[in-house]
Amino acid sequence: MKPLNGLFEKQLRVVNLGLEAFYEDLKNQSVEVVQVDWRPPAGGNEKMLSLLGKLKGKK
Amino acid sequence: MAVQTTIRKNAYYDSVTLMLITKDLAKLPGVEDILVGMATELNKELAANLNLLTPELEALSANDFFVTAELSGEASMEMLVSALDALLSAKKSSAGSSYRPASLQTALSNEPELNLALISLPGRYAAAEVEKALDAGLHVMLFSDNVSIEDEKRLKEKAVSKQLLMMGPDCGTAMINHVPLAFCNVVRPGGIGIVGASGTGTQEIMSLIDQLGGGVSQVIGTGGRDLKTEIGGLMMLQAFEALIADPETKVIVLVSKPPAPEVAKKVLDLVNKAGKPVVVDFIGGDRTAIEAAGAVACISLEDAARKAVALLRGDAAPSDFSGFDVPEADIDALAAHEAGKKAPIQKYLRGLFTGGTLADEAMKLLGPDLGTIWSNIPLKPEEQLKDVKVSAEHTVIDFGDDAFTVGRPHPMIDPSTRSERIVKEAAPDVAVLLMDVVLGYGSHPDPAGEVAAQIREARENAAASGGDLTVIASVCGTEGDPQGLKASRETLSEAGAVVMPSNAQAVRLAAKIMKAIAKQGGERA
Amino acid sequence: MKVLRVSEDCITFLTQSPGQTGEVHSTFERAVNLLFYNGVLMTIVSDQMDLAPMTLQVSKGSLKSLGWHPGMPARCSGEGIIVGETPLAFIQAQKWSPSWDAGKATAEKLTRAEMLTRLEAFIKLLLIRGKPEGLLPYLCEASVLPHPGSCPADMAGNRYVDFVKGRLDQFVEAYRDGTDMGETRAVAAFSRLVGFGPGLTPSSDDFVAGFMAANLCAPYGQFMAREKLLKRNQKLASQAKGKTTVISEAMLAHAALGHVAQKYGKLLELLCLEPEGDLEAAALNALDHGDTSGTDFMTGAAAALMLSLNA
Repeated sequence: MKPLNGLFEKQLRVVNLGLEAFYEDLKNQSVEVVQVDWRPPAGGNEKMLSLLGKLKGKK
Repeated sequence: MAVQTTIRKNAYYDSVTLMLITKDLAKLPGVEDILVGMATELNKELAANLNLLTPELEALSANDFFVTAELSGEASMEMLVSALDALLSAKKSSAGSSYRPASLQTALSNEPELNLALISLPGRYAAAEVEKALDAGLHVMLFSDNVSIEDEKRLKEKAVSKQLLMMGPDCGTAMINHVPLAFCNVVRPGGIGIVGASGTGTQEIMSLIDQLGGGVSQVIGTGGRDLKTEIGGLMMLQAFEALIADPETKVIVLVSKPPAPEVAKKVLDLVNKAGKPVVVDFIGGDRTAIEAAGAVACISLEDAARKAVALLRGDAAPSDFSGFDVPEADIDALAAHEAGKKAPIQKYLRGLFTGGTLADEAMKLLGPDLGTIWSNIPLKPEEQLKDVKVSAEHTVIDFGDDAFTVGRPHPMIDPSTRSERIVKEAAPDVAVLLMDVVLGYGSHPDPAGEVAAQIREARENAAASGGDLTVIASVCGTEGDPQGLKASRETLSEAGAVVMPSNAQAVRLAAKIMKAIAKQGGERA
Repeated sequence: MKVLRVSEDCITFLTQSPGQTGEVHSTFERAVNLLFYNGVLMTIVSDQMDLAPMTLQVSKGSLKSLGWHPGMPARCSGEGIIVGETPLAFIQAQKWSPSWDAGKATAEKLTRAEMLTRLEAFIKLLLIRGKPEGLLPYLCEASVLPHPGSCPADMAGNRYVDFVKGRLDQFVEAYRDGTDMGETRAVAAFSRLVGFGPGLTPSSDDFVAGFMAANLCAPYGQFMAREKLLKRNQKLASQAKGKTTVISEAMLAHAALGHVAQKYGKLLELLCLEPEGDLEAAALNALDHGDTSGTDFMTGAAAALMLSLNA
């Protein structure tokens, strides 16, 4: 495997989860960046988290 | 109040645009109510119900787009229409950039070429997202803290097995392929590669490299805990190896607080295989092991930068730099001058820092001369400041520490936590105030400006009570930073601060002034 | 530029309407609609978008650069279509079936309990992550649906729901009445609903589309034979003609047959069939469709499934 899968030779394409300022700064420098409209999974609801978790690994 | 309608016959705008437009237009002054949509019978019925139906709207058909609004005051339809047109054309040209996928998976399905995830979510959710990113083959920069050390270990092991970076947790600074990420200075491209377990330490080194005319190839963060026993330096080692293999990197700099001894050994063992010069700053750590391994040791962040630049030029590693940019005699004269203005009661130093590593470096450099330095991040546990809001004797504060940042943004983003303290610190018995001003992406738009007024006020207060306050500042930044190095320095000088070219030099000047004061005290006593 | 994938109904259309002419109807960053003069709408999407009924995907990330504009001529050729001067051949393209359950073993069934569990999780997620500007609050305000029991405190109704919820109640109830009387009442209720709300595909149309499609996959609580249900759906969809946007008319016609966009198909599969999969990711992906469209479609689907499990 190439060190870091050849990251240093690629054009950086960023996905930002969290602080908007980081996204804005990258956008202003014309870096390819996408901002995820992130919310807590299951709205922070523990019971639903486990329900959804069960579905993922079924069978 | 008038209800007016504007129409676009047979016009189609994508639904996201329509919703955003409705929200934006509703906010305009004088817009009492607004309905936007396609002119179907039912939508016209709703408009009638809301008293927003007009003859123009009535005449439209299902494939026509309308905006109908109740306007008051000075608001006019022309204003609304020009706002609408501006929004429509703005959305069109930036179409795609206003697009926000609801999850990492969706982002990836739309943009399969993504290669790095920058994650700054609340700690308890961060680990799951990091895992998803690594599973998808993305490198990760994890700014969040409050991630358990067990999670860190597990995620870093996964990252290493997939040849992926997992920078963090608590990693605030990186520059990959010349793209500044999170809190980062704009530094020209060049041959120095940096791996840092400390945010502002990395920023200081890279900024000074730029000021000295050098440049960087890659700057990789590892997060503050990487070199602890539990993590074993996983990222430091992986990044170090990557820089060794990288043809653009000619000199490597490693910076961290002193690692656990067995981890330090693993890192230093790689130095022989590097085939290029390696500069190691284990801030205040033991230099023997470093030099025995064939690496170049340093006495400060500035020293690391200077050595790296010299090595990049092809020179031999210079000796430790503990001097100044101007002749030492000038500095001595300045110190004597400053000391001479102090009232006899003024004998303490206060350091107010936004960068934890800079505060730490300051304390390590001052320790020998000043003795006990109280702090919220003390060098010795017994020097823990009892109440972080109240300084005592010699005190150095890291305003970026948890004690100050719970529920408040980091002081590099919101400088008010620190600037509120500046005037308070100018107590009658304080002689010298030491501070860092950190520029770059992520930082406040004008950190120097945010402390200028308080510096002035503090100095005026000191003068009014018959004394004199020396404020020493260093600016960690470059000309390429949005805030501008030169402009920031000027703002600080105009406010009455003595601006030094680096944290180390600022600290050394402070030490000289304190020594001169002590000598005066001896002579006066 | 190549055609990467093509929905099978496009191929059917080609064989049934050789030489058919039409024009570019509307253009967007990642999609272009063609309206053929026999009333058929066909969509060309970029490689960043999923497939849907009557859709073909081309090997370009953005369609803006093609410079196509509404009114440009389009026609069917022997191998595919021609837009302006640009030929797009379907021959090499990968085929995709718009039928939500194409190729899936419909013999497999979830138990009622399993399906209910999935539906509950799905509804909770929808209530939290869905866009509340459309018809989503209806799930909490409907008189004819079992209460979802997890309505967020700030899920107030909005002016759209307030205006139309009574009509949605009437539609939903009439739809599940398998008699001819039921059909008449459903058609009447639908005509008082169609084309309502924000969006290029108005909210109520998305709701009904989701409702119709989900009814075709609900394994429990069936009140009509499948063939009859399909007929009922088609009758309803045909009521939309002239009463809503051209794009929405097409969408309803497809949903009536159980032909839905790829994102929705994945979701229905996870709600109604056995396979392992990430329900949360599929739901979030579907929520990304248009603006309120995804939410409204899923609101309709949720309503249909709630009723089928409650029957």
